[in-house]
Amino acid sequence: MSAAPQVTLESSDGEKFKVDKEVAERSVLIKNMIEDVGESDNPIPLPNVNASVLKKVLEYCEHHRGDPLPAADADPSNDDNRKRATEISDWDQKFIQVDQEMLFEIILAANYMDIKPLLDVGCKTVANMIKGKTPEEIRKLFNIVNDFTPEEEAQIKKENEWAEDR
Amino acid sequence: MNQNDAADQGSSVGGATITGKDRSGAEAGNNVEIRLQPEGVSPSKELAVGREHNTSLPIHTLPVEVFVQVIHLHMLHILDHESDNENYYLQLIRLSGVCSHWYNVIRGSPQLWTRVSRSDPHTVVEMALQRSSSHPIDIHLSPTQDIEQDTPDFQPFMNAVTPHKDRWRRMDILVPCSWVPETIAALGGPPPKLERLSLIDTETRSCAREFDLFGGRPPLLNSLTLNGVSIRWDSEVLHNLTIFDIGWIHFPSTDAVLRALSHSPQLQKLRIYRCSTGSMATLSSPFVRLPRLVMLEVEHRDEDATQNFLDHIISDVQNAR
Repeated sequence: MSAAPQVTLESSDGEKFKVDKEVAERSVLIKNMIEDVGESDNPIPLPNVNASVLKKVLEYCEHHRGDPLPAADADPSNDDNRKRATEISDWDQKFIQVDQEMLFEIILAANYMDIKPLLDVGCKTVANMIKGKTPEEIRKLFNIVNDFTPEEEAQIKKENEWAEDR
Repeated sequence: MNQNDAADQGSSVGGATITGKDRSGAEAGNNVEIRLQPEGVSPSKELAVGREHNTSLPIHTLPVEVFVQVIHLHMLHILDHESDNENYYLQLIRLSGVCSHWYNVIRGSPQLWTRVSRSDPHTVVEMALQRSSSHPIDIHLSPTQDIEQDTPDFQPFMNAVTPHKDRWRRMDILVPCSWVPETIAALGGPPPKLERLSLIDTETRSCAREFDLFGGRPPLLNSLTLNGVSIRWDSEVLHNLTIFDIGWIHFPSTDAVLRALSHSPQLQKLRIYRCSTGSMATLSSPFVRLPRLVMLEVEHRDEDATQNFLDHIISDVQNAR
């Protein structure tokens, strides 16, 4: 039995990762690059993803290597998809239990590398984090400063007068 | 540091300090406080520092479209878990109050403002119609008044949404049986892009009359839910459906329904719940082939009627009941 074809990916900080082509092609970006360039021994550069993030992304791709690929036009607002709006599988939940900096880097990498299921997991995780929280609690969670000017505050309040008695 | 600990460490930005509890939580207990400490710093400088600080945060490195996706997922969760939809815009408005970045992104994302509900105040309906720009809209029509009243008060709402009829994508209507005629009349002709219609009699009395939806002219509907509201079974509105869900309806005959289904060969989901029929299918009745069907749930009030109906459906799916 011949070995599975492999490709080499190179992170922004120069680290090289040799992985099965099937795993790397969970990324639509890499899949398209391989199709465009053809088979090559040259590493595929990923200038927007550093080694620690790429390692995590590849861990995800390895775990999900056999999963069906998502439909390109899946509408998250339709009923079937909506029910899964913030549901995350157990493995993915454990995988995404990282600090905030890494979480957002994984999301950025998933977006850049075009790995829709991983992007969904990241976005759902952030959506779950803000669930049930007040604006003040959200600010604390993400270390955000309330940066509205008094004029903006007044304008927002005026825009939302309808909500005050609800 | 985990996902919830970003505020645990103080940081200094441009002379002002963002403070929070220390790693042990000893400084402020569980009451993490993020505030600018602008000693000798003017208010405008303070805001500039705050905005600079916010720009550098990991969450604000997300591209706008990804950030909007996060908000969208959060709002979908609210829709799934709120008993009514009245809180949708209340929650969205609250989120927009986190900081100027959140405000600008939320305010400037039409796809977050596409729900238009009769239960919202008129100003909110107008706001949603305006902020959704040219995006398709989803309309929710349900009573906010005492349903013992004889006539619905839909007109102001319909007056607001009708000029946007070319944007109607989904429509959920929940009204008491006595309001159905006026409600259907208020819909007028077919909205050109309507994909999904749900028409539910909240009293499940099963209106005896058959209604003529959209004057019998078909929109591009692919999903139709009727509960207690019957429509003309020879209507073209029933053609080319992929999802058909009906309950608490009395069919004039099983043949009429079979004939209607024969115009929807792409049907993927069929659910018939607690319906009854005036006459069952016979050997000469049509057999309907539904090759795309993935969900089939049929439960007439009469078990024989259920079996009789199923005997005339040809698909690879077993009845789930």
